[in-house]
Amino acid sequence: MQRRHFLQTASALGLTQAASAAREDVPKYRLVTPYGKEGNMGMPGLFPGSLVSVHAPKSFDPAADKADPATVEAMLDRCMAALTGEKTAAAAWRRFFNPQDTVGIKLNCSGAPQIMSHPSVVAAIVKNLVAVGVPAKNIWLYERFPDQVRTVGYPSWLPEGVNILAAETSRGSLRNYDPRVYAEVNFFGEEDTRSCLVRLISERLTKIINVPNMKDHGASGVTGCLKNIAYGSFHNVARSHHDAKTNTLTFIGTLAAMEPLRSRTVLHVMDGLKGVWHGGPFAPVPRFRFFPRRMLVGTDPVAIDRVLLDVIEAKRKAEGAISVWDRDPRSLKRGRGFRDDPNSNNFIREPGHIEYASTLGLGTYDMARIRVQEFGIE
Amino acid sequence: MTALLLAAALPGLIWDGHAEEPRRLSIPRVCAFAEAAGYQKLPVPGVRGRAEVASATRQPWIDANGWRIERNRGWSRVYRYELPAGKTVLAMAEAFAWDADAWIKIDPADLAVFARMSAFLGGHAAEPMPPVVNIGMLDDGSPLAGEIMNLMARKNLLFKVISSPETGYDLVFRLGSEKPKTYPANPADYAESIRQQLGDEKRAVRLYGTSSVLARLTGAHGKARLHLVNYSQNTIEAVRVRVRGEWPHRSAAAVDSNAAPAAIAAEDPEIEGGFTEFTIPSLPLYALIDLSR
Repeated sequence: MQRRHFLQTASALGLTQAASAAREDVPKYRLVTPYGKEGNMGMPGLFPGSLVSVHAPKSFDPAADKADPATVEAMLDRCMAALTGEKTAAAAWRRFFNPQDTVGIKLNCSGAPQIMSHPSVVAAIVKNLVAVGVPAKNIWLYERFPDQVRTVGYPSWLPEGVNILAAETSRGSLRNYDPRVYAEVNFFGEEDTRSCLVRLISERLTKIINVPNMKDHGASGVTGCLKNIAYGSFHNVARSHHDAKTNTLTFIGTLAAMEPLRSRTVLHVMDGLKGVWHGGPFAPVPRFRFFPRRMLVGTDPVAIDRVLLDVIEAKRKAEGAISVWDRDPRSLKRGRGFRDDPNSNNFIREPGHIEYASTLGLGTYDMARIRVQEFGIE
Repeated sequence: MTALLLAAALPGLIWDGHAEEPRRLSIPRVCAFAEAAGYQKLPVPGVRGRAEVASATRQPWIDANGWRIERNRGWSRVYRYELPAGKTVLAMAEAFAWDADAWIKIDPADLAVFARMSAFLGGHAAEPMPPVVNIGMLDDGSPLAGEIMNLMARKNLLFKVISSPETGYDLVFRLGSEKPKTYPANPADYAESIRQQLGDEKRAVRLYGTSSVLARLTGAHGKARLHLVNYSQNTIEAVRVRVRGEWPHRSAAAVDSNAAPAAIAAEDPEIEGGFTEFTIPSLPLYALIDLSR
């Protein structure tokens, strides 16, 4: 997609304030991929503008730092049935997956081992995939950095045969990325201007389930479905931040909209057993962790992230922290100053990336047009 | 005569030990340190950690001599390296890639490494081809111009020093002439400004997946040779290479300190829009890629 096309797309959809600001600030992206749109299940998916939220107090015990797998499974079942309107969870999963699929599960391990796609959630997803006939050997958990993944201990939660790929066997290595699928952009004069897609996605996976957490993010405001699938599926993305400036406003949506990632990402399971309300995506300071004990499920990443924005913003407000929308340069602090002070920013944050992604057709941002089904489990 | 010329392109050994040792290892060019004492000494190549020099792009600090050799090309300089252990392959690769007349004093423990590298380079010695560059650099001899050349080399902005404005370059740069008021004080910003003026799309060589590899490209008559020198001395997994020109035939070899040189396959090749791309799956210290039509 050339920049001209990109802007026409945004204009045609009717720009709101954040997107209008973004239009003035769109770097010149060159998007290269031999893949086109595949089927009709890609983002925003089978249920645009719709999501299910389930809250279960028993799902996680903060004192013991333990999840309750049975409750987590029940949460996922409830979400899937409600999302699809099917009577059983099994029927719901069959709407998305069949035995011929090779399914990727996009983890989020940037805050591991304190917060990550919880293994109980991942195990529940895998159990359902196997139940619909997807062979364990055709299921791939993937992330970018092996040192983060290793701390979680996923294998002990999974049936034998499930694969785990951490793409960067050494930091910056291109080996597991596809050189034919990339976004090229020069943000700050960096020499390596390409971000390539994880090769597993382009060459092997037929479908992807995205499993982000409920987290604040120092650059993008929050990190949910969009940030996890975009920055977690391409390499060389940290270059989008420099000094106080971050290009997450446009880069996240731009990457998420690239094929074949967009077409193959068919389901988002936001793991809100734990959360981070300041200092994300990492979680080094215990007092900034919280426990929503929620799960949000849908096919529309923008709609889910729009709800996430409210969750993080409400928690920050309750804690007396500045808004994720704060753009005051006086709030800027670097390093430990930012890490320890919830009234500071590491970058001028860009929570508008969610609305911006909606202008690329990735989903629905307007809360008035988002249908949220809410349930509770005792 | 040709054989002598080709042999002269190989780095020579400075050796004050027993003369029999290099002879036994078939090292073709050997001299005593006293003979080389008057040659221009080059800094030891490599990467240094410089915590005080923060960089937006997290670029390592590379000590490289290609820009210096290029700057002195018209002066028939002869160079001398004095190396600690473990730097032999890197220095030999640099000297060979930039076609320098260089003599190298090594740690005696590296003698076998020197011999192995010398044999490899001897097997690839060829008639010199002219450099393929984008930029003609009018050098005023100032330290600032030198630093700009150093930083252009760091960014793989390929240049040739010229004495007067010539045609045939995508960009001719002269310090302080064309747009003096628009140029910043920081040499790194000069180099970035040159890059912006040139445009990445025109660049003769681009590398992806590394910030510690410098390239030199030569070519003529439907052939080209690309040298990739890895200053980090850590093997880099998968370096993506983009070279101007359509090169359907590629042969590549890579060299490390601790292993015999090996042929490598250039993976995922693509030829499109007047450029050739491929991936070097593993780049130890040095790779030499011959391209042809």
